[in-house]
Formats: sequence, C-alpha cells, structure tokens
Amino acid sequence: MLASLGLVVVGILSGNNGSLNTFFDIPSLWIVFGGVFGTLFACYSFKELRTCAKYLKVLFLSDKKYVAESYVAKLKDLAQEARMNGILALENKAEGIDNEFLKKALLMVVDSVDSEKIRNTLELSIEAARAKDMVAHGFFSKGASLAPAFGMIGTLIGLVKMLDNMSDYSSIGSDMGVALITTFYGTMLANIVFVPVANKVMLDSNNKVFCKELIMEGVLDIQAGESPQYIEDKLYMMLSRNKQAPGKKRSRTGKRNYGKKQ
Amino acid sequence: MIVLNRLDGSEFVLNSDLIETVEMAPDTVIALCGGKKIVVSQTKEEIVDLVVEFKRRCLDLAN
Repeated sequence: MLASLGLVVVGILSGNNGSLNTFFDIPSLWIVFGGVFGTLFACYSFKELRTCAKYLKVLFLSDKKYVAESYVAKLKDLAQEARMNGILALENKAEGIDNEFLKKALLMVVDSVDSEKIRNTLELSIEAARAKDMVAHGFFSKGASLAPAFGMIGTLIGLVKMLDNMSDYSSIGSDMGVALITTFYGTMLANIVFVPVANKVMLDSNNKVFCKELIMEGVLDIQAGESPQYIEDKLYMMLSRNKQAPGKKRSRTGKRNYGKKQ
Repeated sequence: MIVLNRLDGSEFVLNSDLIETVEMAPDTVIALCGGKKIVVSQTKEEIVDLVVEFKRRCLDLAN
C-alpha cells in the first residue's frame, strides 16, 4: 500500500510542473474523507465498527496463527499420540495447544461427545467466525464504492461553484482543478486503501475457514481411530485441492462434477 | 441391544444389529451401518460376549 502511494507521489512530482501542492486541498479532503467515513459510520452500528477496526491490522501483519501446513503436521502428531496412548491421552496434549479451535475440538473428543455433535458444533463455530469476517469485508467494500462517489460529489460541488463564478476568468482553471482533486482523493482512497484491505480480509477469512475445516476433519478422524498415515494423506490431499481452487465451496458428500460447468 | 460405556464412563445402549466392525485403535471404535463411528471403553472381546449373551437371552425367552 505504501509502495503504490509512493509511486503515485513520484508520478505527481515528475513531469514539468509537478508539485505536491497542487494536489493538496483541505476542503476536498473534508468532503471525501468526512463524507465517506460519515456514511460508513451511519451504515454500521458501533459494535460492528469496533470489530471492523481490528481487521485493519491485516494490512500489515499476516496472521501467523493460520498456516495450513503446520496443522497437518500437528494433527498427524496428535493422531500418533492417540494411537499409542489412547484418546484420553489427548487431554494432556490439548492443554498445551494455542489454537482455540483445535483445543475445543480435542476437548470435545476427550469428553466422549458424539462425532455428529462435534461436527455440528465445529461447523457452527466456523460459520460464526466467517459471518464476522464478512461484516468487516462488507465494511471495506462499501468504503471502496462510497469513496469515488463522494469524490464525484466534491467534483459537482466544485463545478457548481465554478459555474457560479464564470465572470472571474482567472480562477476558472484553479477551481476546475480543485473540483477534480476530490475525484482524485476519492478514487485514491478507494483503490489504495479500501480495495486492498477488503481483498485481504476476504483471503484471510478463506484461509482461516480452510484451516478450521482441516482441523475438524483431522480431529474427527482421530476420534474414529484412523491411522496417522491415512490422516496425513487425507489432509495433504485437502491442502492440494485447496491450492488449486481456494475458497471454493465444496459439498460434504463429495459429489463430484468432474469439471462440468455448473 | 447391548449396554456399553463411553470413554467418560457414561452408559448407553447400542442396537448391536447395526454393528459392522469393531476395531481397537487402541480405544475400541465401533463402525455402524450408516458410517457413524462410536468410541467405547469395552474391548472387542467384551463386545462380542455381550452380543452373544444378548442373543442367547432372546432365544431363551422365545422358547
């Protein structure tokens, strides 16, 4: 994001009469930023806004907690532990686990919860987290569409003012420039900030959902007493399938369409 | 219908006619006809004995 901003600044400064001053106009800033954020705050309740603010850090940090490959190794390790020492031995292992989702799944297995119930509970948990992610994604997407719109509003304001003052020939040029600056700010805000953040939130969310699905399948197979090798192979296959079509919804019964277009 | 214990000790009754396989992994895992799997604390020999005992009781009562 900083790189694209930097490149734009370079683009502005290069050329004959490039100077950052022509691109800086406080009233335009008010119109665009005030308008966009005012509307966004009107669209969402305060609680949802607080949740969305947490997602901003996605721009700068990648969530190291959800690296899919590390969970395959961990689940195979847990499967071997269960194979050697029984399912109840997983209770001790579960205490030392960071990931809340994996911990919850293991503790349910140790508590002798029925496998269907475990699957339903975990799926509900995945959906709930996904819904929260979608709210944040919607927030930034909405910002991406509002920003150019407010840029347009600023342009209209500027043009109206300019046409009102048609008699003053000297200021027509600069007024027109100011009018266009708001569109500039609006489009910049949309494409340099909102679009990348919205996209990253979506990709992050897809990754989290996939990791949780891996964990769920792995833990259920551990409960069913499958061999660690089988579990590892199955999870690797899920990994490679996800690499080819990330985020695609798949039916649980595995109904295949063999590449037929749906 | 046999009485079994889950790993946490709670009892339940299982319809033994639905049992497809019983494996030790190392906890006893019963695979049922619908694909569902249940983990119990009895060993597989104990489960066989329970089923035989149940069937014997059924035949006795029939005669």
